[in-house]
Amino acid sequence: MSVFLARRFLTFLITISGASVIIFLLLEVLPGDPALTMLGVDAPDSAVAAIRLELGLDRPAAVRYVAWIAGLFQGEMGLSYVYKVPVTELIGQRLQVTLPLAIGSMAVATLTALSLGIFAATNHNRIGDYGVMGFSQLGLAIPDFWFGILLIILFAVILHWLPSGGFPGWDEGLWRGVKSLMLPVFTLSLSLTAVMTRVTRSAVLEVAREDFVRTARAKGLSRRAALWRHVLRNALVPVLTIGGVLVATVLTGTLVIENVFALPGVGKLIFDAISNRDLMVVKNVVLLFAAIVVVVNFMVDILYAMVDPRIRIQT
Amino acid sequence: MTETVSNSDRGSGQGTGRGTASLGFLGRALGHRSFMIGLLLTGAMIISALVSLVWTPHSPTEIVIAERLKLPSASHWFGTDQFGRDILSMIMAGAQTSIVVGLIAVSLGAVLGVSLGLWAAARRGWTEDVIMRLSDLNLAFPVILIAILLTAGWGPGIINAILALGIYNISVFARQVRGAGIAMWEREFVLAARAAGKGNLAITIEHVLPNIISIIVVQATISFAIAILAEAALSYLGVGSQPPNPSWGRMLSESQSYIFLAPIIAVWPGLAIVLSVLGLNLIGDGLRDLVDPRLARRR
Repeated sequence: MSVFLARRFLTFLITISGASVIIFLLLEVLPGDPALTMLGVDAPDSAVAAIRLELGLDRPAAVRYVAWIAGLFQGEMGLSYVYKVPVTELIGQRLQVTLPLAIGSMAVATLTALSLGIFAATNHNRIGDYGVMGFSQLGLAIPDFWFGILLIILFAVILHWLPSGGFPGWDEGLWRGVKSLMLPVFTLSLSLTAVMTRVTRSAVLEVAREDFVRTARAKGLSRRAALWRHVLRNALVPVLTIGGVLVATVLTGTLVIENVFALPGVGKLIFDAISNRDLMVVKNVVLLFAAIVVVVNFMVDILYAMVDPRIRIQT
Repeated sequence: MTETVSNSDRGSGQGTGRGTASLGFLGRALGHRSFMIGLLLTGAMIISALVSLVWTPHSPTEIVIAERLKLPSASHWFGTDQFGRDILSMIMAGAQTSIVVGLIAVSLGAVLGVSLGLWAAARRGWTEDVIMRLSDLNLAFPVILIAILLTAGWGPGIINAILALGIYNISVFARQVRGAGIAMWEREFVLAARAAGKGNLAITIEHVLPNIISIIVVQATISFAIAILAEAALSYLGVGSQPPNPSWGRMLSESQSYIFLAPIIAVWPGLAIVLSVLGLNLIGDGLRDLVDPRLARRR
């Protein structure tokens, strides 16, 4: 296990370092002078010189890269060129919206998918199963941003039950905050639910065919007891794994959904930063997201290897 | 995994057998309800894109302010948008964008990914290690992150959407093909070819690739569906296709400003996306069932 862990950790380090190099190259080296990228090619020379000095863009690329990474180790991401505040502060504020959105939709998706998946598997090849599979097929095909727009039309435009977008801030009261996140959370959970339902259903069906389940039934255990005691426990492994993999989907989903509902989260921050050509913000937010994806993949691999020893031997 | 017999594995007397197998596949395909529904939906998307090259009910880009936000009628079947443009014509032309982006991006990912996957499976050792670590790195960047990086550096455009999707798909194909390829390299007919003195390249082209082609086709169909969804999302966010090029994602983004006034205009482009993606997903699932009936029984 320790050799496996060491190898995986090394891969993890290489991946995260490689990701930072790629981000830096794509934003600050390959497009040409970053000062011109930020101000536009028609900007006056004096303004270009000023921004170079202000953001240290006059230094060689390698020096800037090392300074960026060294700053990250000290918890600093530099200053946003547009907002004139530290990027860490900006991200910290925006996470107050993005995190509840991501966690909420993951929770809603997990609960719904487990219930639907188990229901479908226990009603295999019956009408309930077909219904659930049809729903999950549709859930995979519906673009989440369109689903969000449809929910706005129904719950905000027609029924007037929930706000069509925006976020008042947690200071305005917990209920108002929760209310404005309800539609975004349901929107984001749709495709996650669809994927997890399919995985739960096939995992339960797969485990239910195993010999130990047959033995348990032969010993006189009822179908329900065998399901709860033996099948679910074993079927949860693939479900947990896909849950980990879906973290990347949730993260990129927040980028889109925050724009649908005009939520002041990290997703809105990064698209505003693109419009404002605020490279400092783009660079750090992309690295943060890529790092989360890499960390979660690493954790899923470790979890998987702990559960299934064959993985450790193969790798 | 399905083993379709490659040319070199087939004896001269097996030609008739293959003919029967192909006919069997066609027969099973015709009897596979969801596969046929998928084929119908995807066919409709492709036909509307092709027809829009020569004919649309109205011009998809012509602005007629007097006709703005009209409800569906005999002259405008899906109504008009905020600029009085005919929505049906825009949807037909938008199918072109989705198909072009999907085709180029998936081809780019498939050609590079399949080559890398086959190379990794044939060489193993450090070649495989390097390819797989590069693929890990690639997977750290979901499509939207790649598109964001390209847009921040070079400005928005459809090329960014194609590149982002293409780059992401490289590792998707490489991983799948490597896994399937390694399994093929352990089969007896490959060992026999090796013993006969064939080189890695010849074995890969003559034996490994033909036997995993069905997996590649299934993945390409699913990747195409994902590409349509992602292209729409990128255009919706303003980092994909740009005006005046019609795109389903941008139609949705523009319709959102008029959601209280004319919610119906947000319905059509979304339906077009759903039906196209559903069609391709059903084809992908159907193909998987058809090439591997064991999987069909399990699902």
